[in-house]
Amino acid sequence: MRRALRCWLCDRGWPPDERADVVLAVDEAVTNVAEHAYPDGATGSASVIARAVLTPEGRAQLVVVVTDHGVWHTAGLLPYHRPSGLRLMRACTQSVRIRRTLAGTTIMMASRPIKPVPAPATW
Amino acid sequence: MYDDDFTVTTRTDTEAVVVIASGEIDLYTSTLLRSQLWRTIEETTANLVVLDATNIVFISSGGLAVLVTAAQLAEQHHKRFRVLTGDQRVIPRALHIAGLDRIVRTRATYPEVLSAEPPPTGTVHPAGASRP
Repeated sequence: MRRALRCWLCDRGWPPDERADVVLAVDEAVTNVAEHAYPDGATGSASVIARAVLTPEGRAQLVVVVTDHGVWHTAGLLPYHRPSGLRLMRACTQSVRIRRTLAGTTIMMASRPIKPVPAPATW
Repeated sequence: MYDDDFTVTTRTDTEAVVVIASGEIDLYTSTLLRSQLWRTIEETTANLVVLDATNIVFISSGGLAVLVTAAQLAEQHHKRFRVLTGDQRVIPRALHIAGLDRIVRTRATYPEVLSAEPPPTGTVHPAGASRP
C-alpha cells in the first residue's frame, strides 16, 4: 500500500518530504485500524481512499479517508510503550478527523497543501 | 533475515556491535528488527550497540517502539545504544515528533557514535565530538 501510494504521489509531483509525511500518516491510520478495530485472530476489512484536490488558493492537497468496520479501542493498552500513531498522524498532516460510530471508525486526513503543480491529464 | 522491503544484519567492530537495518520499519518488519536487537543486546560483550539506520527510508510508530525498548533493554544491561542515522531524516524527525529524542539517542556519523563524551540532548551535534 505504501509503495502504491508513494508512486501515486510521485506521479503527481509531490515533493519527497511531503510525500513521506503523507505515507507515514496513512500507514499509521491503517495500522490503527488493523490493531484496534479487530480482536486478535479476527479478520476484517478496511478501505483507503485518496483523492488529490485543488484548494481555493490553487494549491494541491491530498485528502485520505481510512475506514474500518470494527470497534475502536482506546489506546491505553498499547504494548511496548508504543508512541501514539495519532500524534504522528497529526504532525504529518494539516488535519485529522476521526469519527467513531457503532458500525466502525473513519479517519479523514488532509495533507498540508503543496505548491501548485501542472495538472496532468489523469488528475 | 529479510523481507522484501527490509533487511537486517549484524557485524562486530572492535568498539561496538553494529546491527545494520535497511529499508522500511513498519509494524511487521519491526518484529524482525526487535528480535535481532534483543538478541544482540543480550548476547554481546561489547558495551556499545549501534543500530546503523543510514539506509532506513521509513519508520512508523511500531518501529519507534522497538527503538525505545531497545534503549531501555540496553540500559538494563549497562550498555549504550545509539542509532546511526547518516543523512536520512526519517528517524530523527519521527523521534522528535513523538517526543522520544531524549530516550533514543541518534548520531549522524559513526565517529560521533563512538565518542565517549556525554551525549547531548539526543539530537545530532557535530560540534565538540572528537574524530579519530
